[in-house]
Amino acid sequence: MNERALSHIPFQVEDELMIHSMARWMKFIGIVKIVGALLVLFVALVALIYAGVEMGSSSDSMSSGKMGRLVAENKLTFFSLGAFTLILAVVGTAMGFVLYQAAEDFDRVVRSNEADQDYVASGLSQLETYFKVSVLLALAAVLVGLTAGLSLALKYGVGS
Amino acid sequence: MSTGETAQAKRGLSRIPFTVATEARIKSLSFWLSVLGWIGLAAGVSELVTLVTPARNFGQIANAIVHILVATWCFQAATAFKKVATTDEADEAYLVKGFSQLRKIFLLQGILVLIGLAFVTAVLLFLVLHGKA
Repeated sequence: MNERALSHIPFQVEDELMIHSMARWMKFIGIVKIVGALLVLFVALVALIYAGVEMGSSSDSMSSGKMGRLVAENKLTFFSLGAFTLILAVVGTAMGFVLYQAAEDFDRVVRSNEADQDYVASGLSQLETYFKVSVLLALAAVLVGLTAGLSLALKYGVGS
Repeated sequence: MSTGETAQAKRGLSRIPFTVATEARIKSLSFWLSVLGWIGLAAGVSELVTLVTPARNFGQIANAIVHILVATWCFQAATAFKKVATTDEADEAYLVKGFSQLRKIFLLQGILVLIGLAFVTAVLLFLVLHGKA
């Protein structure tokens, strides 16, 4: 903790109400992100396990459909996509938690007058992590999606 | 700065003694908010461009408005937080301005999530009731 930090930042009443409202919506979005990411994690895990079991077995059920054949012929691509989805889901869960923690810090600024500046600094720092990781993750997802799409399009020929 | 903004900037602390490390994090927050703003603006403009193609629909207008609104608020929040870190003229007022823009972003996201959940609930209810009939 910064020893020279202000214990009380004299926000006006309407500003405190606005910060409280911001914290409440941040918490809501944080919880939605955590729940959504955990759902994606569950679905991706089930899909990966299912695909792995189907490919490991001698049955032809996987390769009978068009999609099944596509997956069977491009195991590396689809398992890489699955692994990337798992990473996205895990990091998404962590980011939801970071956003919730930032909201808790901003809420403490309003609720208490013990270390306002430290709570603001901590909240802003967590917000920086949240926005930085979110942007980088979105860019990585676009790049991975484009790479996988292009590699499949080149392999099978566009339009054929 | 407009007269209203100047009046707002004069109230509150002119300087909040953040540490150098915290100011660096605030500058970084401002940078990433700007990046998010540019991405949102690009997405909004691309939605507007597709409006002139035959594949246009009303959803794209709503999407474009949401993207451009969020981008605008991101830029305004980024500017406010950058001023908190780089100037000592009205730190508290700029902090409040940044928070106010962030609140708008999260509020809009929250409302969109609630609308989405309402749609999903309506579809599920329809399927349940329709299935029984």
